[in-house]
Amino acid sequence: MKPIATVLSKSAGSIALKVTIIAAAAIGGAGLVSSNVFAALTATASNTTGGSVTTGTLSLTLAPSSVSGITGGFTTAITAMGPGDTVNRYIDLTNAGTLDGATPTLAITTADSNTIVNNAVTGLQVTISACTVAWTNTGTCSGTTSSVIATTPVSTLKTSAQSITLPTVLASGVNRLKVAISLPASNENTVNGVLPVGTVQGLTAALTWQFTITERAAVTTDS
Amino acid sequence: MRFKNRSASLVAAAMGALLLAPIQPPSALATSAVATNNTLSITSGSLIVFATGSQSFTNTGTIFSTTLSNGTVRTFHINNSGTLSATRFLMTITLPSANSNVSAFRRCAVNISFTGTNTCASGSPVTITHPIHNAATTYTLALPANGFYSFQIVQNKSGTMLVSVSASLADVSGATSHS
Repeated sequence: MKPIATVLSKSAGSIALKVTIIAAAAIGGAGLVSSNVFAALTATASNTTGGSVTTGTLSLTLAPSSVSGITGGFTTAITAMGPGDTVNRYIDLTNAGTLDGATPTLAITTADSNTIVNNAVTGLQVTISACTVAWTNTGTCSGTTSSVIATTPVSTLKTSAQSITLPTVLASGVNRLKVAISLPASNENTVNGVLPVGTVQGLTAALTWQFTITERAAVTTDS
Repeated sequence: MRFKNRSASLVAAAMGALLLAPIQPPSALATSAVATNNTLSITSGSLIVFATGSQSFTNTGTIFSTTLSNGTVRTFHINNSGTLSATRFLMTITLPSANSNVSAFRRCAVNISFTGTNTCASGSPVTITHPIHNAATTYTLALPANGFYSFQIVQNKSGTMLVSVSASLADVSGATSHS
């Protein structure tokens, strides 16, 4: 039988030991954690000016020629067009963006369905040429001309977009185009006021002309 | 446990893909620009020729039929209510009889009507080639859009006369314009 004082003394010593161990562990743990926060060295480099990144734009605009006398463009209606007639309209097609374009195409859409838009032979035909300078109001070019698209039926342009050759698809480039719209000559007869079946006469087509360019190929540069 | 880890990995990968997708460069999708116009309306013209008794631009759509009396003058018109002009037209007149003898066939100037026998509202009548029964005769007369010719015929039989008229787009002159 141990004296009570001895027992109490050992018990107190044991508790003190346990408190000491727990305190040491806590301090050690905190030390480990805090060493991650305060012990690492950091170095940063940043530019002082510039660093701006701007994306380019691709924008195609279409406007009637501003030359007096040939400002009809695609807005002034064409009426009473007869077989053998050709109506020339003049437009400026501009890449108004900051990116160069590529693979230009032309398509025509219309809600109308009749002979002049459906028939590849007797229906409307389109021929487009370009001039390096503005066309005159008599349809002459004092610069250099080039073919944008050879004579093509509206029915074809209505079916699918066709490739065209524009003088320029570069950013800010302007194409001065002469769009010749023609109705082929015909020998159909009107007898006693009756038009023949499949006639090209007395028909109306509302055409929307859609020029498209795609972005030039993406490039990788070292600068 | 292993299965749960795989699932978590898959979910993380999917979320990562969703987060990153919008900021990937669209390497396969080329940007395009389109220019379109307001609608351009194109209307084709027409050549609508027909014969009538009194001058009219209301298309009958039929052969003109009228009664003739021996020796009595009959006036009729060839009209074009279309928007195109023809340089000539074809007229076939069926007389009351194959033996009809035409004694007079005349016209006024374009867009001028007869106001009486052998009297034009303006100018003098012009004698023209007599028609042959049932034979198509070409009249080389410029027939403008919304225009007409007034004719008078006198023959020696009583009965019905038919006037058939036709015009061809081949006789419409094409034009090139800049606008």
